[in-house]
Amino acid sequence: MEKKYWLGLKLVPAIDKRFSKIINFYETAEEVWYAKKESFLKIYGVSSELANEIIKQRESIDLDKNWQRHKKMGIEILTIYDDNYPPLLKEIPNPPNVLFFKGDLIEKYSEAVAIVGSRRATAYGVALAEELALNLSEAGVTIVSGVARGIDSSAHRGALKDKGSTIGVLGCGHDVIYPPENKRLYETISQQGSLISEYPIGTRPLKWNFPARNRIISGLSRGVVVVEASEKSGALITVDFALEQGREVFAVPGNTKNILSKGPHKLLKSGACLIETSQDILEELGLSHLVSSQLQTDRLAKLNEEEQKILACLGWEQKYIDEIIRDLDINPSKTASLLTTLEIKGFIKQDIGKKYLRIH
Amino acid sequence: MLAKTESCSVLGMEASLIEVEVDISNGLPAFNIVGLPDTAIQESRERVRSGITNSEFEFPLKRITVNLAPADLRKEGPSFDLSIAIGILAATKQISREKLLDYLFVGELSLTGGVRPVSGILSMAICAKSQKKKGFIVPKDNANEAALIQGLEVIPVTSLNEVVDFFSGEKQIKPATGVSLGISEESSSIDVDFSDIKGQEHAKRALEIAAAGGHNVLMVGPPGSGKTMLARRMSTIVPDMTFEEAIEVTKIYSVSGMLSSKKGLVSTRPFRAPHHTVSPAGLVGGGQFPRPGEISLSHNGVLFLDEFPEFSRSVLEVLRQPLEDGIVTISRASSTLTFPAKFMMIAAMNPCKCGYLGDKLKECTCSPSHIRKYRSKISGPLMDRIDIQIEVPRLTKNELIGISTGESSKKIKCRVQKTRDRQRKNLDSKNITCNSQMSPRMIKKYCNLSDSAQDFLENAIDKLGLSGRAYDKILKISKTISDLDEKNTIETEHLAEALQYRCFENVSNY
Repeated sequence: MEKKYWLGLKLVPAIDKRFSKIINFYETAEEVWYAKKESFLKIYGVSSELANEIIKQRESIDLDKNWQRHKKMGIEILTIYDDNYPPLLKEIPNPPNVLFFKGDLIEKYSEAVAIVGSRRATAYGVALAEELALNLSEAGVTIVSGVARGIDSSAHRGALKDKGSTIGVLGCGHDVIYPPENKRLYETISQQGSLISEYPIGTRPLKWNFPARNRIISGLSRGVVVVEASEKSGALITVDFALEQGREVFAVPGNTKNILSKGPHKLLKSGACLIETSQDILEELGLSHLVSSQLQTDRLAKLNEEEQKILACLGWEQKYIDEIIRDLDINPSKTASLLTTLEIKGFIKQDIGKKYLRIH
Repeated sequence: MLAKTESCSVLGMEASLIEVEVDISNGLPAFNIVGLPDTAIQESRERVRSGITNSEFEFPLKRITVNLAPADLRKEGPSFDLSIAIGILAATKQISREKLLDYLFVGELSLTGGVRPVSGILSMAICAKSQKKKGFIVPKDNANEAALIQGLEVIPVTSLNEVVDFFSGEKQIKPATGVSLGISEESSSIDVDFSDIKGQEHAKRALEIAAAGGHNVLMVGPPGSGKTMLARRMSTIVPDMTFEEAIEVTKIYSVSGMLSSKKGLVSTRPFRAPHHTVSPAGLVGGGQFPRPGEISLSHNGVLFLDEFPEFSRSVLEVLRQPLEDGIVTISRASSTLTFPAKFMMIAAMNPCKCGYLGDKLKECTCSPSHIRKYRSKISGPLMDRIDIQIEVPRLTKNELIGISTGESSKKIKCRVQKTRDRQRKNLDSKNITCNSQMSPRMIKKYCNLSDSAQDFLENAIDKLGLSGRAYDKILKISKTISDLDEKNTIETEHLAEALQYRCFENVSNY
């Protein structure tokens, strides 16, 4: 029942301002919930206005109803005093006092790495985030990210591809699905991994929630990988937290002409670790004993000559179908059919505007 | 005194015989026309009166009653002028009455007594032939058109006097002879050609396939990438019309009054590009006396809809049924009419609201929800009717300068023509002339996959997540590709190419 009162405290915004001070003053959350005004005033830093506000807000809350709603949605509550609170997260300067989570217990996860980046990622970034996440999770690493559009979603998808584990950190209550198109992803993560949030049900995705969420993303992880980010991206906020928390920062370089490379390149210039493959991350974190599965080089050998020519022509940059036709000087009909074959074999990926990208 | 002549009235695409009875009796001078005439026919009284007096005939100062029978059929337009005037002249014995009923009379009178052209002549000539008339008196400017119908003596006239002289035997008028299908000179004079377009090899190939199989196409690309240019050149590679097809098209243009006097026959496939502000009635046809709309005007030809999502939803949705059936039925209070509408649709649109999604040079500023909203303007059922979707990228400056131009329209057309002929032979069906018109049952019958192609298709469905509706489209396109390749079965490579033209639906990641 103690958990119920923890939920109650999270629901009172006035308490949130002095949360640690108040909770440390009392033995249990239940005591806080039933405390009188005089008792609050004894706490250093609690003014009489604040105490009044706490009591006023507390009275307006139907705690039992809220508690039932959380139970019904399958949301568990984890407090900072619990033994299974993630130890890495406990170390950070401002750890969340209460975590609401859905899915597996977080303590199950061993090593975690965060993959973050732009919400408006390119096909290159999307493919790369997926590949990194897949390879890392094959090596047994948990992937942490923010379930946002773009890189975040691809990182989760990559991890889920091979039944790997992944943690999605939300910037809102569990009842809000943001962005809405990620509904399916929400469900899969809560089944195969876990979704966590420091906000109770009913909290909307307000913009100041996201920087706070980012400190949890980096807090849960050993390192943060930035795939694609513009100079003002939220991903760089996560990096700031990571540095403050003493985590590793990794950056994946991109095309110099792309604005989305500005973020990672800036990090690289100031000393972040350059990442080409998942192996680089594992080595840097001292996890190279967890061998990531190698690219199947022999798969390449199975392709016929023309298919290999197309792959060679594509290199690792995006090309329009017309450019391939011109570069290789084969007729459009043949090129089209070869590209489909390669797509089906999983070597290339199509992007909007008939652009092709090699992914293996 | 009573006189009778015969004329024609067009409703929709078909003409019906109208008897024009003129009675002149004693009484106060009056001139009445009965038999559901519209305003243009009521006004014909004035034209006929002046036309007769100015041709130096006598206009009787008696009570004139004109009846247009059958009286319950609504009649419109000025084409009865000539037959009414001839009727009056016959009733007053100013013209020889002997052979009058062997001929049909059609034409508008001018005040000077001249005969002006009218619309719908081809349908009327067909009616004259079916009524076993010996001849057809037509305005000279319409003569070429009427002469398309064999076995009918088409007498071109320029004035009322000429008609009188013809029947009195004072003047011989040489019947107009039919024009042959003189297509080659005309089409070669078109000043657009596929070789004008630089790059876009993929799009060009897709349009060649579309022309060969009659498939509907959607082109997606940023502004300035050449979508309109490509579409305009479509008419240079579509195969020539057969004579029957040309007659059908001419009939439509004739009843819409859009036929120029010189040509007589519409010999090149129509290309229509209505603006996106077009109304539903403008697109499918309509009006009190329904007239063909843009889709019927593009019958046997190409209907190009530029800025596809900008068309209003109601306009786009009315396209669904004609795209399926090849005809459009219009019901109005006065009548229900059917117009042919077998056309190839080419639509063009931007990939998103700002226009630059996926562009190399300029960044797109749309949010995912904007993109989805923009794309959802084209409904699923409409998308189902579009077989080929191509992306048309914008070329950079260097590419524009560096790239050589491709094949000429003539070369492409030659291949397309061959493929069409092949299809017509293979499909041995009366109603169908190209692969795009195949029904699901015919797809099963005619689209034979080789064994390896079958495996490939199953694999593709799995890997690329093809929907059921995409499946039929892919088969139809592969069939056309294999026809272009002059093969009887669909091979893996045909299938693989066809998959490139599928609709790319996956925008969720962006």
